[in-house]
Amino acid sequence: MSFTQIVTIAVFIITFIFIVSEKINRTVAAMIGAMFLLIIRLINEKNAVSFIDYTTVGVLVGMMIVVSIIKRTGLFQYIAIKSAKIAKGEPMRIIILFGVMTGVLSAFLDNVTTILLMIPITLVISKLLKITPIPFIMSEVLASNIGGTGTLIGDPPNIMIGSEAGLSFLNFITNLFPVTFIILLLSVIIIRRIYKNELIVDDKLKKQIMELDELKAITDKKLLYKSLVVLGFIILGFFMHEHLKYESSTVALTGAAVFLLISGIEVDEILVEIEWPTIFFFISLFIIVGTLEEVGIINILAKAVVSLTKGNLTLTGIIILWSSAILSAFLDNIPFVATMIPLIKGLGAISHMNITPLWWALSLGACLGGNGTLIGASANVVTVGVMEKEGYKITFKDFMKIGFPIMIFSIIISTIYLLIFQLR
Amino acid sequence: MKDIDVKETMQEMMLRQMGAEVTCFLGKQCFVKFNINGYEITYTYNINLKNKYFLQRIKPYPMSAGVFENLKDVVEMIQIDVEQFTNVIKSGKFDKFLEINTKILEAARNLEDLFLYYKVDEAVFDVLLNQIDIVKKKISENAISDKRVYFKKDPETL
Repeated sequence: MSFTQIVTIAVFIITFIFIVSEKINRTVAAMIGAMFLLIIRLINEKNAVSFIDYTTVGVLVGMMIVVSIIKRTGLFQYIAIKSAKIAKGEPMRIIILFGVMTGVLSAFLDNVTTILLMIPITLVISKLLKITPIPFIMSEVLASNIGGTGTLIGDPPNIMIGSEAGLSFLNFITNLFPVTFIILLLSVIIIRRIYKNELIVDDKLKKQIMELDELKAITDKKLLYKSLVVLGFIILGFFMHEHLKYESSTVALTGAAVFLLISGIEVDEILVEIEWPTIFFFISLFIIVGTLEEVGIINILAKAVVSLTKGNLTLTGIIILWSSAILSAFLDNIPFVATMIPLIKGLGAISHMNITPLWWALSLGACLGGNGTLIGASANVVTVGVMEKEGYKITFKDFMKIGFPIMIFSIIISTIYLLIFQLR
Repeated sequence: MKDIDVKETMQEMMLRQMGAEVTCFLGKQCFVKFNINGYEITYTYNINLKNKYFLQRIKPYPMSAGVFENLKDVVEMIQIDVEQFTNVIKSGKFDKFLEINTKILEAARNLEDLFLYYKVDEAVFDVLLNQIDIVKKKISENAISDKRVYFKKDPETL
């Protein structure tokens, strides 16, 4: 191994340690790692820019703008109140409806965004029902990670995989959405069973839910109608982007630009809501992982994996699925996937095996694995933090007691699915 | 920021269900603190893109100072207020002035509680109005007879 390779590995490991240990902010850690590689001239600025995946950054920024405008119309509150009323205020039904709703929303929006849209509504509903919001919140946070697995834009690892592997929105829908929807439904039903004793309320309190007026949640009808039309075109654009030969980022950013135009809201006010720390985290990670690839470390790792699995697709797929899940339960899945992508590409180049099923294994493992522990996914960390501020403590143990079995259950179903439909 | 968003959405949802129209501005909340001879004078105002600045004095006693169209007026208002407080503090009569003000504010709160929590006889209205008129008359009379000391701005109510 060359000196350059040793230095790159050292920068990667140190950055990773800082990200995992949370001693310093993850974005700051990644930025320092990336800038260090530039300062010691291991790469130059031109290399660094070429490592940044424009598609991932574009989809993230575009969708953040879109959501920021739609949420101002009150649409999400409308849907939530309507769902609670359809459930007739019955918590046993609300937990299912809210869980499925979070999962489906999360398939099209970022998981953290989805959960932040659901938490306030859930807190108000549970306050009216005079029960703890924790069963609903646990169901929603786990559902957000499951739902996000189903589409190209649902979870950042999928955006990265789609972009780097050249997989379209439709590829994700056909290959991952059905299995994740089954996992979502079954998981929500299991969670309801676990919490069933905490979901009993008086009929009088259920009436309070029925008295809520979903129409009062709509703040701007005109903008809502316009938003729904543009959103429809964005979703259509995602379905057709491969056919039209556009990147998914072009669809998201065009949609965002149209949304900014029709909303009439100050652009500054919208752009300030973009999660810039997340965007800079991605940019910095792309530079670090790009350097790993550039100096040949990924190639060495790929060769090691091929010699271990002897080029057996099924064995490789199952190892990727389970190791991704277990690691993602304890590590941030974004840097993990960023590292795995060039590795899988390297496997394809060395062994000439069909690596497409491996992308699905990586996506299912990395996204669903996030449910394993409190630190497994950003949505979990954000949810627990926000809930604590609202007076509801969810400890690491509390989370793991529900999340880890659900994660194992999800990965077992994924294994069966991959073995039957993908890894043959 | 995320916690603030969650709290904002929660409160907004509940208020809308109560029938309110809620408008939220993205902005900054500023606190301004002066220390004049050991007395703390504090103000708060917001900065946003809608050109509506709500200025409020918090200490030594709370009082809304109004809505301003630009920040220059906010700073001007604070400057005048501080100058006037400095004069009163230097006069050595500030403690007495504070005591009267505290009692007036307390009386206003008492009055509100009386009417919100009790079934009050209408005759009490007349008694209270009469007493308040006496106090107001006394203030107006003194505004005529006493020597004026501040001229940068005219009094708003006298």
